[in-house]
Amino acid sequence: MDERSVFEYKIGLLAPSRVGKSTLIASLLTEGQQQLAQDSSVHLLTADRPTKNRLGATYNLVSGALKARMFEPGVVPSTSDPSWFRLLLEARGQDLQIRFDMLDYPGAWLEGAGEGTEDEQKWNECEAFLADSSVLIVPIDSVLLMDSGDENAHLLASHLSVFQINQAVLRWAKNRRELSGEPAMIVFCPVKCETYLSDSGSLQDHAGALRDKVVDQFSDVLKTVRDAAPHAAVRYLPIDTFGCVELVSARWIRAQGSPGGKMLMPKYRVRPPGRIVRKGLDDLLTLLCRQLIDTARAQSERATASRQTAALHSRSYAELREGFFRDLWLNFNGERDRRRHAAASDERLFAMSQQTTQSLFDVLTALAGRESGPRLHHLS
Amino acid sequence: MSNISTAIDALLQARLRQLPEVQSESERWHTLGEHLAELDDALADLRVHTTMDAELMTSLTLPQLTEIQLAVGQAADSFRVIASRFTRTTVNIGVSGAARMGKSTLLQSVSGLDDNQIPTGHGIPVTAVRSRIFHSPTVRRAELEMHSPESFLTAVISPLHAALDLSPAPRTVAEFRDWVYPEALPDTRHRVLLTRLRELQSALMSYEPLLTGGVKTVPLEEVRPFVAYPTHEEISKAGERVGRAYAAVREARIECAFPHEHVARIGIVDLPGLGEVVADAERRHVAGLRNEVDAVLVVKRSSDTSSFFDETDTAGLGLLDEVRGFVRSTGEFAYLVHNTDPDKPHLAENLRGDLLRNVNGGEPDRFFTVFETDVRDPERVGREVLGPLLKRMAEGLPVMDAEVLAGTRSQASSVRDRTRLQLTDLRRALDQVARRAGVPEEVNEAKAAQLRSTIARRLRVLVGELAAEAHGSVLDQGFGEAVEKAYEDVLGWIQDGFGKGADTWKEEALTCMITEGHAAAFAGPEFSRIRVEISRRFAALDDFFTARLTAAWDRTAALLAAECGALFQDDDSGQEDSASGSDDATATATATPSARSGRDVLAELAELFASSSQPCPGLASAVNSLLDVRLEYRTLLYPRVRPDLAPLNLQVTHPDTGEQMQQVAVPLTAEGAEHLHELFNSLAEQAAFRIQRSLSQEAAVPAVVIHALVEQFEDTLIRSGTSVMEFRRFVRSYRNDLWPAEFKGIDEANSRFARVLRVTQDISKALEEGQR
Repeated sequence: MDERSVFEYKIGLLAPSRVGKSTLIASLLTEGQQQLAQDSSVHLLTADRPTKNRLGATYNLVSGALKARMFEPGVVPSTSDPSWFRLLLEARGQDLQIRFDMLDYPGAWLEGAGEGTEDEQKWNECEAFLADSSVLIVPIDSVLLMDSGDENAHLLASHLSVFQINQAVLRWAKNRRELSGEPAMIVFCPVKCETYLSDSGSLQDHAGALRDKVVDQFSDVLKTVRDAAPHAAVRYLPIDTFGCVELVSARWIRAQGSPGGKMLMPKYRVRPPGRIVRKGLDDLLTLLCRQLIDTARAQSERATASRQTAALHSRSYAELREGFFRDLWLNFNGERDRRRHAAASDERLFAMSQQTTQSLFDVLTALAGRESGPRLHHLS
Repeated sequence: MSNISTAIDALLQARLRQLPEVQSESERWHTLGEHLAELDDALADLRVHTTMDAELMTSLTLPQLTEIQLAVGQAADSFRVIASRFTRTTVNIGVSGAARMGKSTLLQSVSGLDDNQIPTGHGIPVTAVRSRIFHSPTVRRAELEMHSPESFLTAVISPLHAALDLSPAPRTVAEFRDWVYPEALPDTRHRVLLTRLRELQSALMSYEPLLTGGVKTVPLEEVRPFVAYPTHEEISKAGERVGRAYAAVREARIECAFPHEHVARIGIVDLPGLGEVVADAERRHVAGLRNEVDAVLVVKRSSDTSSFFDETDTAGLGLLDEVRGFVRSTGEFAYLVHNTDPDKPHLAENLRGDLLRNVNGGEPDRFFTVFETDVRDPERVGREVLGPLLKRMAEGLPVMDAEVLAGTRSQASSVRDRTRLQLTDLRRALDQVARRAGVPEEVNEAKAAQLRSTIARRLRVLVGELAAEAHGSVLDQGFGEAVEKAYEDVLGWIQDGFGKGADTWKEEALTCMITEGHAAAFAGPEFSRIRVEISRRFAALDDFFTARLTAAWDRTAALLAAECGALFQDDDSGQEDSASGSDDATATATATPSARSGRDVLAELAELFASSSQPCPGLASAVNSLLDVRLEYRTLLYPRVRPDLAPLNLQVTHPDTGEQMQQVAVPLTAEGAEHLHELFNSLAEQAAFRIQRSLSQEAAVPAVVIHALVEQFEDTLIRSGTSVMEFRRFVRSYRNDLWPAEFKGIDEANSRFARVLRVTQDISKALEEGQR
């Protein structure tokens, strides 16, 4: 790790297990890297080895399955421990690095609301992280929403963990309200949407139905956000992480431990020629960057103001005339130099704060500047 | 085309134009005959009822009914005969005359055929089978209508037996073969007939295999043995074993080119010889004439033995007069052909004089036109007979047709008047019966109101139940199961290599791809086949729909039977056990006669509504509308799932851009066939899954449709504008059956009375229609 300063940006991921969070983050990384491919001054990369290993493994599993035209659910193993994805955005010649810290909130924890978790410390870390995140992403399994069938409609809320998500969102929203000067955003991201949206090659267009179902199923969560954090932005953004797969069928199978004792088992086909066409991830990246800029601006302005005050105070104190003998004494014992040194240090910190804010804008311009695509909707 | 041909064509066209009207007249008289028969039956039924006294019984007897029935039957038959005449595409000329007068020779001269097709003989009869000969410029053939064993026995053997007083006639060909006939009979005529019968028996082997029924076509050159008796030479040579193929032939139709003018639409009918020693000859003669000929040529030859018009000839003309019917003059229908021999002018002179004096009353052609010719000379026949005859027919036939039609209508009209008169008498008698057996109208109205409101209450309950089933939160489990079953069936078929076995499928795909050089050759038709098969398999849902509809009919029938149950009881089941008249709105399906389906009960109720003495068309229509419904996957759900099959196509359309996209691109190798199989599998399975999903969303549809149907039925039956009135009518007609305990006796008579009334109305209606 180099010695450059790091700006940390916390993002919470809320979804039950098997929704495809790892795949989502791996795709986000790949998409970001592709978007920045033309710009040699900015890089997006994994920030640590665990993230690198996990995303690498996910990528290999997915691309292997697509090449073999065999896409089976469960091929991407689900995450059982809390883990952090850390992506690093860095600009050449800049002293600042931006780190996206994304907590892959363990689905199992969410489903059990953390109860029975032996590692109390990890649970507390998760809670603290969520409270600190200015952005929440809620990935939603579209197949569950769209193709679970009327006869099992009563199981849908349980399988989507709507109650648990609502509880977590409530805690997050309350924290955001306390920091109402800071931006807050929650993004509902239906994933595995390739079958329902026609812009990635599907022959049917159920975009409206999908959105209606999300709004219907998560109406309580939406209400929670509106009540507890009215200033928070609520976005809807369906995401295709593969683009070239399509649901063949889905049937409920017995599964001990799942709500209702069963789970929906989808079966996919790979649409020839099996080339990945991601949709919505560019919009997600743009959303995150814009949000990051807003957050950073607020934080930076606060820090800059405070450092400017400190610098002015230090300088004024350093140069303060206290009478002839007193001044002579201060010069003699070195106190004057010490004060001047401290004032110079505070002035440097102030200058650095200004520089950090500027650097953030410089780094994120490429990603935050693009227009949003048609998939993105405002829900508030 | 000559003037004569044009006139004949115009005549035939005019006949065809009149045909539909004549046919419907025939049909109307036939229907009237059926109504009269039913009236006879219904009156007999009413007369024997216990409440009838002797006076009423007498007043309900129509003495002229049988006679009128006969006259109506004759009117129907007359119109049928005219229709048959108007159906023909030719003008037919019958050729008649006693044996050995030159009839067959005349036929030869007209048709251009020779002895090999129309045999002539000197001194012995030769024509064994009746022939009809038609002009055809291109075809030369004979179509033989063959006897079946049964028709042979009925039409050939039985008349001979009857004429010989040998009864009974044999019932099978085997019996005929073994029949022992007397060696000889004293009476000369009988002797001839017996000889003919024995000849047929001894030659049975030669024609038994030909008793096949149907039509046999033979070249004209081979037709002789089928239409003529064997010659003297043949009999001498073969003795009793001589072949008699003609015995198996019912009739011959010959087509050939006539060597004359104006013959394009002409047919010649060879009629059995008058005075010929054939059993039943005269009756057959008349029967043939009535239906099939427009004019008759009676051939008379002047010869050493017969140069005057004898009794047989007179009798023949008498028969023709019978056939003439409503044609004003026999002379327009029958013509005499005087067959002269140029070598014996004195004989011709004798007959000419006899015809003038005895047939035409001393004035030439006064009653009958006489054509004089030598029938052996085709040229003279054409000039002296055919030409003048066709000219007369072209002018006279339209007049004859009009006379026949007008005469028949006039006769029918008098039958109609007589029938009306009888109906007037009958109505008077029925009024008398009604007065004695009447029930006060207020009682009737009260019962009708009670019946209507009770049925209304029951229907409301049923409609409420159906509404709950249609709009309630509970899904129709049966529908889900039926959809799932059809879905599993489709999946099984897909997994079985689309019904071919996966390996065979791939093999076929590979072969076709390599042969045709591209995958589309296989994929295109295969997509179509799979689409059709998937749809067909989901159509198994029809069984479910049928079951639901049947259940709805059963429930509706049960509630109606709870109120009108006695109407549906079998005659022998006894009305005492009936559950009718109950006020209990919770009566169960057991009220429906157990052995009968709800549909049958409803159909019977509709019939009862429609056929009651005072018809209830609104109520009948309500029931019929409920029954006239089919719930089908094809019409009900197919439009909703059809888009799910769209991906099963070689080319698909992108929903946003409208761009056509090719779905199949695989190498022409075994691996390519494998890929193709995977692609088809996944697309077919996906289509099946989507259809299953789409159908699941329509689970409420059958119940909604059924609810709407029964609700509409309730509305029409109970709340239509005529409901109150028609319930009263219904009760008037069937109150005894509905409430046997209250109206015993009187109303039993009432239902019989109602039947008579209804038939009387039918007859009046038929008479009015006839007059229009």
